[in-house]
Amino acid sequence: MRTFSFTRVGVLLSVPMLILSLSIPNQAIADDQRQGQGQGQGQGQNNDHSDSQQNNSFKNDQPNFSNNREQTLESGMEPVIIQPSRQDGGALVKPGSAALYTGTADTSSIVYRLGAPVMAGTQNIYEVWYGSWSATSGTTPTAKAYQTFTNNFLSTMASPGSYWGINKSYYQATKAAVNSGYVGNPSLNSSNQRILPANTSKYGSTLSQSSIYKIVKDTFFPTTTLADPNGIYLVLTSSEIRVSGFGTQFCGWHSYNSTSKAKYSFVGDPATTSGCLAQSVGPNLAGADSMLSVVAHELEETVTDPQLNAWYSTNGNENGDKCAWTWGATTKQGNGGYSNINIGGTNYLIQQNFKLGSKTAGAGIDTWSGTCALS
Amino acid sequence: MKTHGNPLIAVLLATSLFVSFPLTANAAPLIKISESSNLKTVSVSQGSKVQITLHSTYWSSRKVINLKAVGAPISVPIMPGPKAPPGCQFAGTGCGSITWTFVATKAGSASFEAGRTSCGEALKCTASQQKFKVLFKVK
Repeated sequence: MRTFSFTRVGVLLSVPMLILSLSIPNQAIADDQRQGQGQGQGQGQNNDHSDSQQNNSFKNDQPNFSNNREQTLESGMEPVIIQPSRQDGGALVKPGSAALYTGTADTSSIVYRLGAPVMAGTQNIYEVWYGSWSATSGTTPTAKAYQTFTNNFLSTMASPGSYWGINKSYYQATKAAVNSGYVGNPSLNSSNQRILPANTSKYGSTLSQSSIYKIVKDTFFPTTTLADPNGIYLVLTSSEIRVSGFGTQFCGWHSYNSTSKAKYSFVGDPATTSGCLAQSVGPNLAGADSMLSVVAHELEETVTDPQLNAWYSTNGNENGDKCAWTWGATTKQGNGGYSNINIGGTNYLIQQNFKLGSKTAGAGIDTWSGTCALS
Repeated sequence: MKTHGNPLIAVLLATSLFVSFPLTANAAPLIKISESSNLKTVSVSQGSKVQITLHSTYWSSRKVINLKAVGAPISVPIMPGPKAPPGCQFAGTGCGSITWTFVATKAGSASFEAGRTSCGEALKCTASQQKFKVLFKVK
């Protein structure tokens, strides 16, 4: 019926058009069509909905649909994901326990751009613990615990079959199918670890993003132009240090200085920053647990995308971003906190990483499917 | 003459029929939707094209009802670097936009829902930041 009536409308429309077609030169018709399309687009822009066309007449989770049939998206579209188990707008809340914030994995492919480097071979980890981290200061009694806990993980996460193994499948290549190196293991050395109280630093307790790099340079290579080419420099701030954007734009980040070639990263203690805290009670210390997960996030991104030009998805997500706040299977600990991995007898809650699946070679790029996993 | 004229008219009629449908389609308004429409109802005409743009590349569609997709969603990330806008200097901040385009093909109600769980580099979202939902009243 609908098709039939539509055809009749088309015939009715066609009569004046036929008359017009006999009386107007072809070029004029073409111009009119372009103008009409242009008007249509302009009209469309002018027709942008306004608040007057809207109302708040439905409840967020219970829309009053007269036809509730769900439409499958076309081929090539993102899959429709329905998450009936999620509450609180997306975060998974486990009844009777501290809430564990749980994200949704970005399962789109990750792309390697041929010619761009990864951190092949061993990486040297440098740490600046900035702020009230001194065990003797008395202001932060858990400071030493943070450092010991963090370094325990960093020194064991690359053990066979453990967390770091996913990164070691990321490679660099100058041309298709000719790999020139794979991401290696991190190396910790106590001589590369510093505690820098804010009251002894010229940068004080409020840091800009640029001062993070200056702290790195002043601490580890003040008189030389070039940084350790195999180094990853971490600036880890205590909870009272203010870093512009922390908790509102990021919980950590990694970057690259093109002059010194330094790969460096910032991560703050989220103990008092709710936007960066995975759970209120952690398997160890809630702040240290959440901080360590972000450290892992930044490290895996740094080694696979050290100059921000190697491994990331077309939406801009690096491997760590694709699996942020995803944990896989978790285990509830005695204190109510959740963990998802045990290394060397210690329970941790560490976000998953993007594990490469299968490759599709393209012009200048390798595109890899994958999934979020812990090992 | 008569025999010769009929096929000509038929061809012209057929041509005008063919032309008239694209013109009708082009006249459908383009409705642009963004974050300001969250949790609102928008009235659209049947056949309207609806373009939904959300300004973070972390959004993904979660549920689409009674809207026909036109092509794949288009993600336009802002890549990090010295020239990136404030707040976009670092990889993973989600700076950029993603656009879905649909046609409201059926009169009645339709809806689009998107979600995200990252709102910055390694930054979780607050409850109100996690969900975008818009209803359409299709006339």
